[in-house]
Amino acid sequence: MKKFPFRLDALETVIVVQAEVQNYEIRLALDTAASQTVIDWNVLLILGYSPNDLRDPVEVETANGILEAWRIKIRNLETLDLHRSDFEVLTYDFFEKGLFSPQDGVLGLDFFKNTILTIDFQKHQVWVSDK
Amino acid sequence: MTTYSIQLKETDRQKIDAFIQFVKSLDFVQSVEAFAKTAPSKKNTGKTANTDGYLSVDEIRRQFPNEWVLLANPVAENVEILGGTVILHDPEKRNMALRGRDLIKKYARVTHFFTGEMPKRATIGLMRKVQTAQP
Repeated sequence: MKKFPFRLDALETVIVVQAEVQNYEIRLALDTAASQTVIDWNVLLILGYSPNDLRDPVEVETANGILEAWRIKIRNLETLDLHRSDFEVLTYDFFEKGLFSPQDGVLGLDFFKNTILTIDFQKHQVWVSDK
Repeated sequence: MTTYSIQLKETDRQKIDAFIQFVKSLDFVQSVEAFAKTAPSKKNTGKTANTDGYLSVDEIRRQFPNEWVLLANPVAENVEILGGTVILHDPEKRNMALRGRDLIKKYARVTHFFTGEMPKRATIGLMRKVQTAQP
């Protein structure tokens, strides 16, 4: 089982992990309080997704207030040695919502469905297994 | 102190990261710096790309302050980007995304980052879904 080092952000409140969406490397905040994974619309835009790919809108409560986000199915998302294909995420335009963040989204609990997620805060390592 | 240069023929980033971690773990190693060189892309016309070769993050920050930078063949250590080939830069993230759509197809691996300072309190945590709006 491969263990991945993680970095805590400057305030040591966010675990940042590297992820790939269709070979495009992004950084996501691992958030065990988030039910769903969120990816900045600008990342999906650069990968060729268009507004036609957006499904129904949902309202989500974030630390920045209530925002309208959209469901979208992305071809694949890979991080922590875990692959998800045709994976539904939420997306909204971070830039448009005035969100200026070094992270490109949030890795939520839906990504870890049916797995065992272990976070070692002493060694700053995180790993996932399915047994 | 003696500085040694090691050239790697391996291109698998995970293997390289593991190697760097191993070297760093040796108690007699003071520091490890990556100076990767990538061949210029033949498909790259140079109309949008500003640099063909590898630049370290510090060099990129100096050349393109307070801009979003699209980076091909990035070299990273865990989640820290060390450098790569700049293929696009723009002060606006949206513009970077729109202008970069076709460019990224020419490269096997691409990422982006902002060269300026981020606000200390940037928070993106999704707390909960409130409701599903009607389409």
